[in-house]
Amino acid sequence: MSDTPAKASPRQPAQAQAADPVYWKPQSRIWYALAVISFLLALGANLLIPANLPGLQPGLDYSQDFPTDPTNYRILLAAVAVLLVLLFAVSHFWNPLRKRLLHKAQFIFAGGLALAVWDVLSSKLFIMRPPYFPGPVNLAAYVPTNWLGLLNHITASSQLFITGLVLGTVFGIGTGILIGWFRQWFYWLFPILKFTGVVPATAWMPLATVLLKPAPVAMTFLLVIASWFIISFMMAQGMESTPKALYEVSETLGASRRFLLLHVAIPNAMPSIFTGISTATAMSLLTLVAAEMMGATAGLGYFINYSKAFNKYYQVYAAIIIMFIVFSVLLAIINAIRNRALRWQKGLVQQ
Amino acid sequence: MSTEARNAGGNVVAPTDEGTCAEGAQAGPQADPRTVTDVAAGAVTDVTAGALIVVDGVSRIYPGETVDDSTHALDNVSLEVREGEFVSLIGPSGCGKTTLLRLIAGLDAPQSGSLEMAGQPITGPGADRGYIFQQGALYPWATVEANIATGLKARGVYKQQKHKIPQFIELVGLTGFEKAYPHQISGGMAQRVAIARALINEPRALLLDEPMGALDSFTRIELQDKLLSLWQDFGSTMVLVTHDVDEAIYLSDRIVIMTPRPGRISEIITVDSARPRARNSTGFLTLRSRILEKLHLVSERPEPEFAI
Repeated sequence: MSDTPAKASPRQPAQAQAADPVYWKPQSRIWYALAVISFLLALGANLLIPANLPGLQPGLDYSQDFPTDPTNYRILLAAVAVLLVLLFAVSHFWNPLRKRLLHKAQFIFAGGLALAVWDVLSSKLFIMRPPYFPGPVNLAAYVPTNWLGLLNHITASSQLFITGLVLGTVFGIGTGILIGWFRQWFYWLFPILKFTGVVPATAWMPLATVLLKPAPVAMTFLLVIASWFIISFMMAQGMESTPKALYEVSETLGASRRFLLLHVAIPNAMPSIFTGISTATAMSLLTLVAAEMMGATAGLGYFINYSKAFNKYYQVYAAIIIMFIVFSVLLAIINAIRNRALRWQKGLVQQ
Repeated sequence: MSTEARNAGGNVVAPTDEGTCAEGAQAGPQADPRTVTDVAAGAVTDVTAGALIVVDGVSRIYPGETVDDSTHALDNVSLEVREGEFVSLIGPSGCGKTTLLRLIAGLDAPQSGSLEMAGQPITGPGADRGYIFQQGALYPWATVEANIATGLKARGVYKQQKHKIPQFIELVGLTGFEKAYPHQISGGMAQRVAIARALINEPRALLLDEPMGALDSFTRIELQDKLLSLWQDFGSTMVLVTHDVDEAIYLSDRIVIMTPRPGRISEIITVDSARPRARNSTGFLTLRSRILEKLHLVSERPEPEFAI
């Protein structure tokens, strides 16, 4: 701090140099208190503002079972407020958590406000009207009471996604090794692979649903097609990028050609494989939802399409939020595997 | 400072082919200290036998677009390296010193001439000739320990010989870094891992391609001493490619000076002072300026401007 320039630039105050580069937001308890208050405010808004204000026409959903019970929403808000307080108490014993909480305080505050605004605009003032714009009350009322049905769709989607990605990865790595190591395989297989890579997987959908029965088989096929090309391509490329010196030094250590493949080329391709898997994951999710919308009888994509057909847009919103949560978990698992496998790389090692 | 006087003169031997022949007689005295250590280590049994590595009339041409364009990396080069000898190849870039080393390693093949290792023609790389690259060429995905274990795994003797791994880690002074990844260690440490990885195979010859070229001068001197003590412990033959005249004099029994376009051996110089050699001794410095002169790196004219 002593050698800080006397005239600090206005954008980067002198103290910024000492500040935490990760949790750079003000470590202020006031913001955290405001964050808790914002959720209490949302709760208060829902409790105190009447829904039947004079001169306003309530916007009812066309469907019979439009969930309007505010209890769940109120419990949720109260629970979040209590959780925030509890976390803060716990963080007294664990400084990293405290830093993180205080860093996120402004965002949490904004989140509480946004919920309050959304709630008032939809369920209270009917400016955002059903069926297209349900309020947080409707979503909170719907999800817990239909949890089992939703779980079926979540399971169906996850199963399909995992099967497709695992098979695609296995085939992708297999063909990647073949085309990356053997000229003959490259000559014959690569053009075919390229064909399946250039044509989007969804283009196969009509054919797949007709030719492959039952439906999950067709969908697994589409998911495999979606991930196969990119993974095998990245695998082959990763093997090709092996520095010549590594092959040469291995040979002077007594390595056979088999050893070069298994212990030099394939390990060298690991970062590349995971880049391929990340891309394949994104493409698989895209294909998954599109395929479920067209040809499935279960799954979150199917559920969205089904809900739309019955004008139950609150279900569409619920499905999208659930998708976010489920897919985030799946991506986090893939990332964890990747970080474990690539822990030898620069920057990933945190010790 | 007992080494001073010996280097002063008479080290220079006739160039090229005849040079290698004349060398045999002169190399005798150096063999003595080594023989003692070799017997102690029990590694080498046959010090008095003939050459371990024989390079005979080797040419290597890298073809270009046209005939005129092609590069004569090596032109009719002959060299013999005795078992247990420390030989340096020195010369400006393009003189073919690395090419020669790669040919001995079997990583490249000559257009004409022959290469032999322990009486067998060299047809490809093998574990009897360890090779150290300028940048270490460690496997970035493997820990220090796993890098050093590679040779054992590649030769299928990992189970029987894995007890050697800690010994070799200790030998190069890397105890405590067994689980470190290459990006977590310094350049000098990486080279020590590379050397341990090659030595665990107990190669008869260790070929070093500017192993200290990328290191700072402190680390370089440290590693030179390490290399010298390893050589004395293991008794394996060393062929070192270097740009550094001091390094060559400090380490070698013989220094092979090469010239470019076409790559040829211009002269072989025997260094017969006892080790460790003092880098500031008169003999060392005389030899140094002699070699620099051969390499045309110093002006041959006297410089009266500086005389008062």
